Amino acid sequence: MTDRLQSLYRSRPRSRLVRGSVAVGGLFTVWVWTSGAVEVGDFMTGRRRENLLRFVTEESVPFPLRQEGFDLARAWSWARGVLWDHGLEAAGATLAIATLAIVLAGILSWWLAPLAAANVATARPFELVVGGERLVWRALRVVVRAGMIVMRSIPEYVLAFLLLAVLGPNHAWPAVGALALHNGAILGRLGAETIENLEPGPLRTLRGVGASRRAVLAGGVFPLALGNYLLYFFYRFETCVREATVLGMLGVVSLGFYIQEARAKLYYDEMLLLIGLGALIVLAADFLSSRARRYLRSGV
Amino acid sequence: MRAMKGPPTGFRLCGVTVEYGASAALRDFDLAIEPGEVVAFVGPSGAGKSTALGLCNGTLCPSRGTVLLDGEDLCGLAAARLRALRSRIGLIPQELGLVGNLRVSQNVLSGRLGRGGLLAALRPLFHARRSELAEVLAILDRLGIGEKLFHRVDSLSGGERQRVAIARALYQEPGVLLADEPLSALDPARSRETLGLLLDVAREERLTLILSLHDIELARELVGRLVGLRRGRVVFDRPREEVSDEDLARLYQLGGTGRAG
Amino acid sequence: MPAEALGARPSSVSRRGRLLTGLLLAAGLAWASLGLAPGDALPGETGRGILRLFCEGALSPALTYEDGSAPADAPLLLVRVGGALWKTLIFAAAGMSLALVIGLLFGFLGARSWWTDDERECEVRARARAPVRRVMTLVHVSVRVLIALMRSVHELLWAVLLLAALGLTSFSAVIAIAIPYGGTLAKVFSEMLDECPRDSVRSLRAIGAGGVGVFAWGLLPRAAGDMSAYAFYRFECAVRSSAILGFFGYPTIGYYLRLSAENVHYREVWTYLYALLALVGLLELWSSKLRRRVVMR
Repeated sequence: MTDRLQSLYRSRPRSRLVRGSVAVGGLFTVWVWTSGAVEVGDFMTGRRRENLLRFVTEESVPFPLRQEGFDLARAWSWARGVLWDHGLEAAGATLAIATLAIVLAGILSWWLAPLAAANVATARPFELVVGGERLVWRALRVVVRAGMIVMRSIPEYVLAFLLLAVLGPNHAWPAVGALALHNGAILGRLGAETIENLEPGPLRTLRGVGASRRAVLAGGVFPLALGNYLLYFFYRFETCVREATVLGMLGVVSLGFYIQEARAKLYYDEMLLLIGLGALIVLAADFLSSRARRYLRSGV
Repeated sequence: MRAMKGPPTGFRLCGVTVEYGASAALRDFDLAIEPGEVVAFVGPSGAGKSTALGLCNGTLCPSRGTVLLDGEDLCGLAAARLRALRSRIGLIPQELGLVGNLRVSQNVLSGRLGRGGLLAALRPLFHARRSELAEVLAILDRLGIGEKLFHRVDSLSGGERQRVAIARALYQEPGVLLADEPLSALDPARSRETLGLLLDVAREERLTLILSLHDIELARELVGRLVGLRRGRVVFDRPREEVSDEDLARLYQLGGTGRAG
Repeated sequence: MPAEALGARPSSVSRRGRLLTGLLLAAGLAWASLGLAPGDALPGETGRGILRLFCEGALSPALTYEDGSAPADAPLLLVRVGGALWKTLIFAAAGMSLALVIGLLFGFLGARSWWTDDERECEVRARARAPVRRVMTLVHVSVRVLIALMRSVHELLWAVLLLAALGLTSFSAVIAIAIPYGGTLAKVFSEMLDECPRDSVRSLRAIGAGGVGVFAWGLLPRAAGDMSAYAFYRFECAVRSSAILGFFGYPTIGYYLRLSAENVHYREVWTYLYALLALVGLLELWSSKLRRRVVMR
């Protein structure tokens, strides 16, 4: 019996890939934490500890409270000063950048998605025939897809940094452009997947009665794919707001700009307040986008 | 091998009514099942077969009436006692309830989750003892799928999965075996084979076997005692030889939602 | 629309129409409030020059330092790229492993299925545990709030915060990644656990399994495939985040990328970009292969 158990165990189906991946990941993680590559516990020593204590007990306390003791009215008037002065305006700008960027990304992906979808960008769209494809179409798809992969693999922050050099400072285009390109590529891929997963029947019928490719796109593909696509769209909106906050640190006027400024001046109390404000608008965007998704699904 | 008191065996349901909101799934239901008996609930869908089975392991409680398991009221028990009882009531649910990305061995081992404490519940998931595996293998061999011991359940066919579910129930070392529509996912040839297997096992282990079946012809051919249910009421309750065509006509008369097949 | 006049719910088509109209309006408003000029979206005179350099750099990434800008004791460019890539990977792995611990812990505690019993449990027992249940609800809600807070602050902002609090140490970078990623993992994990099919949970309960047993055997393995696929995807994101952390002085690829860009050495910039792209692409390939194995449908 035990022999049989052993032989059954040895011949059990298993995946080398999965086991190898787990082993590599596990070993690497252990190595990272034990080899000193990450300075664990470093902050508990000497200077760093003083730094941490000073930050928590002094620097992060709102400035007027530091000398004069805790008083709610004084704290509020300080916070109102920061918010009225630039905080709220910057929060508005952050939302504006995110909204404009996500709409532009949507428009961009509107063009990219069909070009990357295997059932549209082909010599005989929506038909069952697969083989015998002309090279032009395949090349087009490969180029569009590769472009999208590059665009979504470069972090928004780096994109914005490079666009800033090209477009110059003093306006929001670098941030808007970086977010639009990055998210356009992501939405383009998701849109292409949505289109490829569409029920082929109705589209084939449309094609069968002589509709042109463009007519099938306008009359069949887009209306059918729109529902799922919008779900992705609103999901990305939330991330857009998160990123828009941060892109300001490069010099575009969003919340990040003032966070960076406060940081440079070592006004850590103000920095904390603005980061909190950023968290608040991200939560608001999260709420908005989940409401929009639910509205789409059920009409509530 | 068996616990001191021995696993539960006999049921007595007295005047049981089960209501879901305004409608009743069972009405004034009386039934006694003796140890070692084999009983099949038959009838159209929605007749209350699954409800009747749910009463037998306390996953459902009656709105009125009592369910006695060897004299204990199943719905008045402390949580610990109920768990202990349930751990010895073998169950083959209609949807099987197997975990696809665990191995067959682990799925069968989960049959004894009702026993022991926290550690005993977690340990076999990561490390199974040789003796446990040998026991599992013996059960699987008996059901003809011993070779699949270390395969993942989602790589098995429908018939093989059904057997894994049976194996899990047997690994519980139950006194009673409950099977809810155990043949619903199988083709006719497999249905007969699987039902035969269940009956053989019940006979050899002297288990009380309670099934719900929609295939009344098969039930009439193989199962000892049939309880015909219709709209939550018992239409007939007799040994299979005595079930007449008239009974069946009453069971499926106009207004019944399904036809035996 | 007559249907609306009758007070009926808008159809799904008109709902989409409304959302799209609203979006376009919002975008118009955003445009106006940002005071954007369409012309600014295209590069000006100097911008075009930079763009040309940038595009040339894409075609011929640097293999050695451009115009001998580096100090004499600097390592070879490719060695530096490799080292930066390695550091990027280390920060990402350390941050992600910590995030995984946070995500699993809070994901369990934040999941409804961890706290609630089978809904068809006898009412008698349900009533007996009412006070315990109140404490559970409290813990559940506070964990969810904590998750939302962790997630709503961007990793770069966490980094800024931790830089102020701890200074430039690799541990602060790791925590900066671990906190928001842990929150996101926790949120997604808890949703995956809650949306898992319940058939095995029901059957395990029915054979007397206790809460922990049901969770560990019936729910966790079911969700584990999706959970690990998602975790791997987040690891790819963590590599990108870790790269960007370099902009704040950590020795990851962003640090050198920024230096080279500020010196207008776009060929070097592309070397770093290509290295990052290759790493992310490799991980993506690996994860898609793994996903096919782990998430069986």
